[in-house]
Amino acid sequence: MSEEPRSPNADSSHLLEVTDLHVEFQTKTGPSRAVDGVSFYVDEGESLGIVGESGCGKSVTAMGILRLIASTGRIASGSVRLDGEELTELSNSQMRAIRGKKISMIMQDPMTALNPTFTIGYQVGEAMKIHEGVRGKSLLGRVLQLLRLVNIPAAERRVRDYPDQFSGGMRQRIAGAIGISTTPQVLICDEPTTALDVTIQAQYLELLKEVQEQTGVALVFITHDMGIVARMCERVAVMYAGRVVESGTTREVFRNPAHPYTISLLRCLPRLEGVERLESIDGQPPDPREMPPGCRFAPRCPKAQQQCHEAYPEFAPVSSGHHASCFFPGGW
Amino acid sequence: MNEAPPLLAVRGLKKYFPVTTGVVRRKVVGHVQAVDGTDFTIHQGDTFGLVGESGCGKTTLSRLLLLIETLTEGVIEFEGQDISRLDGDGLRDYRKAVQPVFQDPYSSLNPRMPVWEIITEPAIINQGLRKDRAKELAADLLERVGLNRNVLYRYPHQFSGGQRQRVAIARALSCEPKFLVLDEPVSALDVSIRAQIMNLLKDLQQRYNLTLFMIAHDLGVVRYMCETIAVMYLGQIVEMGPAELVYSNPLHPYTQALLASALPYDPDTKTERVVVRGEVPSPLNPPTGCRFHPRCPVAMPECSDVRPVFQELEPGHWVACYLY
Repeated sequence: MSEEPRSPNADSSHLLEVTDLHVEFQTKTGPSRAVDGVSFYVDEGESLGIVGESGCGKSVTAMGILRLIASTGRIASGSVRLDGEELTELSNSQMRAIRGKKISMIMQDPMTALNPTFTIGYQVGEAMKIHEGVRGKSLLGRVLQLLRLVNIPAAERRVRDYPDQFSGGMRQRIAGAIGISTTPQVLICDEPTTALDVTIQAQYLELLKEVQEQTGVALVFITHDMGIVARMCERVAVMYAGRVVESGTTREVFRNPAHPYTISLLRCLPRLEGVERLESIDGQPPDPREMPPGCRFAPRCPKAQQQCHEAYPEFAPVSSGHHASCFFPGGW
Repeated sequence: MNEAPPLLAVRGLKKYFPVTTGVVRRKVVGHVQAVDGTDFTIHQGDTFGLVGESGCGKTTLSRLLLLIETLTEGVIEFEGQDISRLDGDGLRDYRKAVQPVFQDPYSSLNPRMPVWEIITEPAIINQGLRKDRAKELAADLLERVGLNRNVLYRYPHQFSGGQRQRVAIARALSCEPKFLVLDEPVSALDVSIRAQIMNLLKDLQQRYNLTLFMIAHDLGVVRYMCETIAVMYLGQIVEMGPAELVYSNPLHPYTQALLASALPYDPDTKTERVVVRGEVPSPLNPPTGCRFHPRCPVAMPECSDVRPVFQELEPGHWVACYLY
């Protein structure tokens, strides 16, 4: 995270920098601020984890970066800079030239991310054809190379097969091949392994690491799984109810979590070593149409004071490179 | 283990699904060996956890226990009685005593029924409960699972995922069951809600002396909930034992691989590189011998010939592997 995350032009030297992003959806009962002032950055060759529970706005943040927000929603304000270029101000056709070329995304569900009516060879090659004008034999060669990279056995034979002829793990790897086909600078992985079994998940995460080592791509993991963050990411941003409540290096945030939400989240994970009784967080996240006026976690927070219910705490440094939005950071 | 006779005993259980071709003249061309010879027992008050990857047959096994599927071969005994021979009152008693909780609380609750009706449907069917009594019962059950009594007339869409799973648990409790079959009861829920539901299940188990059979793929969840753990691979249980033993001293290479693949919640823990390659083979044409041998890092020639015997290596800790 930047040192002054609230100022829009803080530091433009990062590869991808999201500053104070707001995304709003129109609903019958008023606007819903799914993403309400999110800031973070990621550099080349680095992995950032964005964690949070369902509805916290992490996927909408990703869609906002790619400008793929559904028509009922819009980016209300904020900036998304990729390699110095402001994405929110680009025209749709300019954005199309960047999406899938400089920045790609691997969608959550491999069962629906691929088009069932096209061969996987066509789908893996599509972005290279559009963005790089590769055709014919050389395109086929590149496609086969990618399929081999993601460990699809007998690639020459299977390139003409359709998605339904592959297992879930293979489909996810094919979606991964599409994501990296144009060697993007940033690859956003939205819950990349939730549909996979544990042994397949481990293989897939290792594959992503290898690709990163080879190409220097910056990875953004959007996930609810703290295990993926611990394994894959150098830095992490924890989201709650549309905002980043804590961010820092993964080690620091896991070792010395400052925000009560992060602390509770880490405490309620069932670990392999086993415990007598897990702590749980009572209640549930607020409705984005009726956000509490103060800290959004205050209604569920064991440490909340009067102040917490009245004002939103500033996103302030806790230690070097470690920020949290809390009046009373630390454990209890 | 326990001296008392087990509540549930399963011996040589098999379930094969026929695979057919042809539209008019159907021909059986093979069998999916979803469950292929499993033995285990569950004692009163225990929590038995079944782990394995998708397609390994764990859900089929749970459906056999619930009598949703009929078994191909083998015996399931509940309180000493063979459940496939039950009929009349015996069958009705079994269906009351054994209740399911399914994975997805969004699809397991009828969206057109108010909550009180959902919760008491089993009791109305099995015990012929009257409407006014049913509503009282529903209100009690809602309280027992930590929901407010006055939500009786709400519909499922008015609840969050965690609340829906509480409703599903209340429904399972409506017939005062002895045995709950839980198929991935928390995997559709958010992390913070998961702990709530697991703690609720633990509390209810203690209060009503329930026995739980739980399927999960999350090893942490199973560790937290279960005393006994069975690891299933392609229709067969490859390792079984007390949770501490299986986690601290996994014997089967597949169990070792599963535990090595689980991601620890600690950025400083360096886990080994992935040990298993490839994917689970098709249960339509499973490998001979030990079914794990094509992916096994320590496979030996004999592994591909004959299925290894399921043997007890230390008290209560069973494994099917030629290494031992």
